[in-house]
Amino acid sequence: MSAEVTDAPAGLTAAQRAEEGQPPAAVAAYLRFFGSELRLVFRRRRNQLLLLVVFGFPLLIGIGLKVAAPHPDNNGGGNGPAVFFNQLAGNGVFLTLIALQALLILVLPLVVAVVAGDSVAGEAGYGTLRYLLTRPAGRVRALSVKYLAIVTFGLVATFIIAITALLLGVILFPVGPVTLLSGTTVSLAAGLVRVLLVALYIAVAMAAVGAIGLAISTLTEHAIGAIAAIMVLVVTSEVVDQVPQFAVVAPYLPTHWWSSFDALLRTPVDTTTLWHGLLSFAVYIVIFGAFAWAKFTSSDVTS
Amino acid sequence: MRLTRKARWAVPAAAVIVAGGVIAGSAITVAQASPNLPAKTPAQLLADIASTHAVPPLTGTVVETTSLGLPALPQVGNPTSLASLLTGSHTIKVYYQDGKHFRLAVPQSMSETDLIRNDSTVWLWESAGNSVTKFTGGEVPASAKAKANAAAHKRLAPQLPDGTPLTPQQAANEALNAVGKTTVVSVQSTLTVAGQAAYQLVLAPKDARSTIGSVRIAIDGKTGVPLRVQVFAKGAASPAFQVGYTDISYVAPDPANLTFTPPPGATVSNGDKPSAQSSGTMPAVKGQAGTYGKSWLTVIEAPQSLLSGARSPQLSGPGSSAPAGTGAFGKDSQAAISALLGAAKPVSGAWGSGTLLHTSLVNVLFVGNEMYLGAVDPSVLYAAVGHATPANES
Repeated sequence: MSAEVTDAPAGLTAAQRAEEGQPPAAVAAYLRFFGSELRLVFRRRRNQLLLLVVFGFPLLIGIGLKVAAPHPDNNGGGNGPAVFFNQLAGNGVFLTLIALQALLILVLPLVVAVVAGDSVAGEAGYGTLRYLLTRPAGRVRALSVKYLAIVTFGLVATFIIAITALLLGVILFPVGPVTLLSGTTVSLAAGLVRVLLVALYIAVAMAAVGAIGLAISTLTEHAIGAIAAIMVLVVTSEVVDQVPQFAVVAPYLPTHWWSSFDALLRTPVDTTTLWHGLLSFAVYIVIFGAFAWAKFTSSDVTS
Repeated sequence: MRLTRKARWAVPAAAVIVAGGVIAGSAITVAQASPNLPAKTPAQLLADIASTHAVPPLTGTVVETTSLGLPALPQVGNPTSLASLLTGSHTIKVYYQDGKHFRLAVPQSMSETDLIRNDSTVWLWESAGNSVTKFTGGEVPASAKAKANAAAHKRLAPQLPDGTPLTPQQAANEALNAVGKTTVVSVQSTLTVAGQAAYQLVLAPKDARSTIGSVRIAIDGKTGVPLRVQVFAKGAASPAFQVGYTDISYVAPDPANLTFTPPPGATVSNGDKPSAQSSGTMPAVKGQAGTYGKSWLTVIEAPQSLLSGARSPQLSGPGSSAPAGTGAFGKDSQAAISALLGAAKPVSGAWGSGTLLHTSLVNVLFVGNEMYLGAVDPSVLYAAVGHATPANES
């Protein structure tokens, strides 16, 4: 992994320049720093493979559903992606929603967890972190750049799923006006806007996972430990969310509002639920972002 | 930002405290001071309810919560299943223009059930099945109501089978039917419900054999609209059943929310046929069910096959025999029914023997092929065995 070794000092010099330069130059330097961090994340072979997996899942789901040929009479009132099946037969746009809903449970959080867990712990493990941590003022910048890279990666992964599923849906199924959950039919363009908003909502949810991951990542030098801890947290939260005895705490769980993107598919849009969800994500980002900042800027550089 | 290392930790700690404070704060607002409203007698309040046949146009959210203290039911994903209806809470979005133009939407995870009335046409939309049922009869047919209820309400309510309340208005009217010599009616301290200053009408049964402690109806001080109905079991601090607005605004809903066009590809069926056959009520229930006692002590008698066999006229007409295992409750609910029956304890006495299912509000006695259900002390159920009057005779 020579990429980290060569890229990390480049990021450092950008940070140094940012401190010494004027405000516009500082912005440019920050963007350069951010760019180098993005290259670091997106050039890593492991992360590229993750994006490939994320690209493959919608193909698998789409072809599988095409072969299984959803039947109009097959009206299961069940939960899960199955509820969109009836609409899929008539409209390929729903493949995007099916894919997003299916991958939101485990695959997307895993993708974000790998990048977030690795962000600080990975560099600490490789011994490249000390270059970043020599100056206290540079640490805030380094941490924010790392977080933005995590958010960007989550956003890209979400949109890879959405766009792949959308294109495949257009190829495999008929496409037309979109029937929303409330039984109202909107034009294809309006339907696509809703799908776009769904993808953005999910990206924000993943940004919250990224913040939790970043905080955990500052606690250890072992990236794999941080990644595992994030996934344990996500799965535990999802399980607790399903247990009726814990219904009192359910709305405060980090995963509780993930599937509330269905609020965007009603008429009128259920803004109350939507804002609850976004508020929950924002609170998690602030709390764990502050935690990561406190830990990262106060810890000793040992590696 | 020149904070010492330890001081930095105050920032995430403060974030947690602020978030916790906001959560706690939203819980505390429930217990705010009573709003000022001119004093009213119960009779005046009853008149208020009676006059709310003309409910002003409104848009709001109704939340129904049931906590009967049932045993843990098998967890299923389907939000319309029996297990889900008997526990937890359900949300109904209300868009009300007038009695002939309204929409009730029951949002569930990734699906929605809608009941839309536009003049004489009533639509029932179920997104999970991509199906539309159209009624052109004028009045909302009981079968459609029952289906909407199935999506939103518990079934073991101490009401008649087709009388499960759908809105606070209906719930209040039904509770008021019980008013009489049997009931202590009082007005208690005003309170705020869904942001509206409201009176609180309290109905309490005089007969000690009722398991109901009180029925509390919150009535909007300005409009007379019932905002919330709570049913408390005897001695309980929190309601066993509650249906009420969590937010309400007296503005006419957007006309776009009151119209409905069946989406392309959806299965559209005509709902008038079954209701024409059955004159609008559940024939399977009406033919076999009976009642015993009056008012608060009403006991409903019904065949146990109701739980496993045909329930809704939508699924099997009165003439056709119900196919085994294909009741209104699906496979998921069968598991819940088994769990409920498993929780029933054997009882016996001079009246015979059977099993008794005890909840905080409702007691159900299973004897032979019959079941007796009521918000009453078990002794009333025992007295009802074999003495119920068929409903279609009254």
